[in-house]
Amino acid sequence: MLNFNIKILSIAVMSLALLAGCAHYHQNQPLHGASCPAGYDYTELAEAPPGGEETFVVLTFSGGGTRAAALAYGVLAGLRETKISGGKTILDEVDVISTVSGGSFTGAYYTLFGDRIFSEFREKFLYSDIQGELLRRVANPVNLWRLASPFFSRIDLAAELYDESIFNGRTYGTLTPGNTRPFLIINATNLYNGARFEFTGKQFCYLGSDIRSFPVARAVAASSAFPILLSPLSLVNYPYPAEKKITAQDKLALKDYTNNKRRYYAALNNTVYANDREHPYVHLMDGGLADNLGLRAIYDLYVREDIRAAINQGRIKKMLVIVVNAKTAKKETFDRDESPPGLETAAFKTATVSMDNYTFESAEVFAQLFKERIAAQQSRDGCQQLLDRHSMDGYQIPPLAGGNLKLYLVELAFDNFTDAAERDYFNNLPTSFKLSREEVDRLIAAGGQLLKRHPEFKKFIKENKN
Amino acid sequence: MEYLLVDYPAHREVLVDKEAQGNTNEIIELEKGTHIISLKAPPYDFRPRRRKIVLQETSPLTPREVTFVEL
Repeated sequence: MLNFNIKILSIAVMSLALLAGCAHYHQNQPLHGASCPAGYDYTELAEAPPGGEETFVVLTFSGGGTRAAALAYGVLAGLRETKISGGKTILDEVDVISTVSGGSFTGAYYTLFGDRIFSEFREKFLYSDIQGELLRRVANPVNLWRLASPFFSRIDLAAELYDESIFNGRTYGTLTPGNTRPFLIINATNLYNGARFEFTGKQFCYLGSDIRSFPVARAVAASSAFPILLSPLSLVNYPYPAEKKITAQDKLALKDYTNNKRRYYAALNNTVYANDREHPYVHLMDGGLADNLGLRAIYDLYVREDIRAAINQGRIKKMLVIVVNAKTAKKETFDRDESPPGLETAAFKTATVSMDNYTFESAEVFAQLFKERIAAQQSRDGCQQLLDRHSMDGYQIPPLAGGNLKLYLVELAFDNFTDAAERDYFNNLPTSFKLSREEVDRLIAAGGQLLKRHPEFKKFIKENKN
Repeated sequence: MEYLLVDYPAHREVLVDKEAQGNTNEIIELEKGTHIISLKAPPYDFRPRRRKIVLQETSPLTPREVTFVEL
């Protein structure tokens, strides 16, 4: 009998060990003969109907757990209620959504399922206890064994949960046919160099990988892999011809260390993947570590990529950028004590301080770009007026490519609330994937209120109504 | 941002680092740095074929001028 029990036990242990050994994260697939990028690239979407990009609307959704997801949802609802010329809503005009962490859930859901978000997303995600469900899955004995595998970790379990319960197994391939807008940019951070990593066909090209079979849920999981609580999400960097991994633009930008460090470092971060022998894997964490607003992706598009080309080719006439920032300013008390804060507080601060520090700066840098364009238009036009008045030869200063753009930047944050009690309420909400229904509902309402009260948004509506 | 003006007798699309960016005889707003400027072709009726420049210290009223000659 004892021998029989030992045999049973041995078989059980071996089976579980085998199970653990088999557990492996979902690998991104290599490109097989497909041209690069193989799918989900903005340039494919650029073939919009004539005039489709004339009013170009960009949304960025910050990190901040369910708080950020609910605030972003409130903004989407507000945009859906706001009509502009031609009977369209502003939501109909959204061209690009760039998301980080908690905001990635809302952005991805809207991009995948469209208006269904307004009937499904509250129950499916905003009101649900995602982190409780994740803890239950971690505690499940089968998963405990899977987690013992060196190739399967908590983030893979989280991605499975999001895939099953929120995103219905959808991959980037389902976003490619028809090239419907908006174009979704989910942002994560490459742990190796701290650089922004975006889930797009272009970025996957640098990995020699085909994004089409990659689950959107895994991109969202990487984007929201909060340091310490969740493990990094891994991707394979496949061998691929170096001339395809390093673009002509990157080659030129690598000469610009002294001329333009932003351009140089962007290229350097892009080309790190070309050395697939030294970097055969990529480990990603929360997008907030590189940029918690999702605005850096738009900066790159505006300064040197597809938005820049669309402006210079005259396809964009008006551009509205709405930055939804769920950053909080929780009142801390640890500086009342002489003894320093404990390990937990120090670890949390270490993980979040860098995320919060530069959000203000990122928004300022972007605002400066818009101001620069307006100033360029004004100085060209002002000079022309002077020439028209005082010169007889009828000289015309060359026009600016793209003409006179109308640019609107709308920054939505809890600090915009003028009521101190309201501001304090939102600023003291936690960063977690479990909030009460009341908190979620108040955040959704706040998203719509912040949007509709913003002076720049009001200006946009006024100038774009029939 | 920096400003580029490509002089050419005819209206042609300007390629910057192989991407279409505006047209000849208009001021093109671009990122500061090293760029390769050319015209969309065919027809290859212009010289030089391309120009490599470092675009910096320009303004909308004093753009960097690059001239292509019609053949």
